Amino acid sequence: MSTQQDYSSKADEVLVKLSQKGDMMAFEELVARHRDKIYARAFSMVKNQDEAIDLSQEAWVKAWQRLGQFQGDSSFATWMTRVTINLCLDYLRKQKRHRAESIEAIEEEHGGVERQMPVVTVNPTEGLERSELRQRIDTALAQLSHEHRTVLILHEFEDLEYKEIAKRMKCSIGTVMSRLFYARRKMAVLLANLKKEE
Amino acid sequence: MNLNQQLKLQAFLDNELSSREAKEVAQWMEQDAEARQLFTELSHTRAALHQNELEVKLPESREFFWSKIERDIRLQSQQPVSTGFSPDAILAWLYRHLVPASAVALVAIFAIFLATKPAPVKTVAMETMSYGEVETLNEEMGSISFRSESERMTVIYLYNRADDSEAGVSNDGLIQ
Repeated sequence: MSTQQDYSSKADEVLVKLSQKGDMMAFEELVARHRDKIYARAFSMVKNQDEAIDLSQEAWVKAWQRLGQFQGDSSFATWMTRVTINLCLDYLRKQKRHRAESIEAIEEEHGGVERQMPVVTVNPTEGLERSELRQRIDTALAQLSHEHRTVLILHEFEDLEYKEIAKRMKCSIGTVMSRLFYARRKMAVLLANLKKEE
Repeated sequence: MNLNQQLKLQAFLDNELSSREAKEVAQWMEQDAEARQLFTELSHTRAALHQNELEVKLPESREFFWSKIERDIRLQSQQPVSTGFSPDAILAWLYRHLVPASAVALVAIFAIFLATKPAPVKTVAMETMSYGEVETLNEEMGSISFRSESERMTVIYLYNRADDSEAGVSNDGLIQ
């Protein structure tokens, strides 16, 4: 009889094949291995712990249902992350319909504001320890709107091209470019402000 | 520098330009200090973000998190499979087939109604001077008929042909 110990030594590809045949213990091992990463991606996008837990849980259930579609073109982790991102994007779109937008957010969304920001000439992250840098980046990211944070995450952390981001966010490439530009400029200012507070 | 130029700088940074466009931007930056400054800022931000995403851990135990996933998977696999005879399935079939069929039938009925509806009489004069042909067995008898649509009445006037010339009625029955 297989034990969980047997599965922990198996590679992802083997576990996926076993899961595709209905082996839930193999799938449980995949969940254990990648749950933090999937949760982290959901949390970075929605910035709400409870929602991120629910969304990552839903992503795993969807992954089980769609395992037959996974062909191995990418790693399982990458495929799983894409499933999670799509769920989070759907969630954010639904939330946007109900969310009242502040004037600031509307200005941010429609652009033009980034042109008023002065260029940050000093590297605001120079000399920082990695852990400190990551914390500052996380603090700055939390201050962006959902749309700007999402485009930054998809480009900088998921390495997606403009075209792919546009497809997933259901907007034009031009919108992706201007949102990314605004997000980067805002991040530069926020990181510079955090450095000044030292 | 306008927004288009700024976005081109960014696209150059992200390797999203064609080689020709990239060359143009590189040449432009050599001559434009403002462009170089903005490019530097964008580069710093990009480098800072690269592989510096904060790592967070799922705040639930392995067992608890898995138990919820397993429960949902089992619940979804236990959903009743539709045999086609459940009330919901029947209603769905009816809605899917009868609604469009009803719409087509209504259009057809309306079209038939329009095609068979008698043409309305537009003026009183036309209404009263609708001459129909009435066949009579007696060759000495002539007839004039008119129909009133509003009154739904047809009047046939019979006359002695011998009196035609006096009445000013031609052989074909038209008043002259």
